[in-house]
Amino acid sequence: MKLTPIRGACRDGTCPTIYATDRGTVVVQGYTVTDADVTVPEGRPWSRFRLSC
Amino acid sequence: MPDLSWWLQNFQRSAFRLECLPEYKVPQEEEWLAAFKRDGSLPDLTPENDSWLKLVRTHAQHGCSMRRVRIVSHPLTDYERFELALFSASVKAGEDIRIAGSSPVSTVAGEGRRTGLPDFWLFDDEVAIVLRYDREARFLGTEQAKDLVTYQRMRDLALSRSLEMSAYTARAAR
Repeated sequence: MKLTPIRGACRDGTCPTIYATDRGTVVVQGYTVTDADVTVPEGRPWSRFRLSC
Repeated sequence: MPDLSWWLQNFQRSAFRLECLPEYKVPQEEEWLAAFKRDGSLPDLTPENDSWLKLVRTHAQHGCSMRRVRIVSHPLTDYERFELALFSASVKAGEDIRIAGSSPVSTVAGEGRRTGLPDFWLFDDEVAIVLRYDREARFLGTEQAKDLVTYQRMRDLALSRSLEMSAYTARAAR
C-alpha cells in the first residue's frame, strides 16, 4: 500500500499525521504514549478511515 | 471549547508561537531531515503543495499576523539547522519569524528543554494554548492556559530579545 503524507505538524501541535493511501482511505498515525505525565485517551496507534468523498 | 486547530483557522488578529525545544520528533519530517543531514537538500514546499504554507498565506492576505519566535541552541542542533532552512518558505508565505539564541544553559537531564519556557500559541491576546511533548520531543497534546497574562509577558520578552530571521542569518554568517 502506498502512503502519501498529508502534512500535519506535530511541532506546531496540529497532529496527528494523516496519510492518503492508494486505496481511497486515510491513515492517521500517532504515538503510543507510555509516559504518565499527561493523560491521553487510549487508542490504537494506527487507525484507518474511509474517505467520505 | 475551541481547540488549537480551530484557533489556527479562525483567529482574527494575531497568532504567536513560542518554540523552544532543540528538536521535535515529527514523523512526516523524518525523511526530509535525513536528506537534509545527508546533502543539505530540502523539500520544495509552496502554498500550493503544503497545507501549512497555504494557511499562513491566507492569513497574511487577510491582514492577520502570524509571528513565531524560535529559541535555538548554540551551536545549532541538526534539527534547528533543518528547521531554520525550512522557515524561509514560511517567511515567503507571510509568517514573521524571529530567532532568539539561548546562552549555553545546561540541559535538564533527559528532557531536552533548555530554557524552562513552555512551547505555546497565543491567539488574539485572548487565549494561550500550551503544547506538551514527551521526553523524546514527541507531541502529546495541548492544554489551554489559565494565566493568560503570564503568556503575554513571555511573548513580549521573546519578541524583545529576538532578531528577525534575516538579521539572525546575517549575524550567523559573520
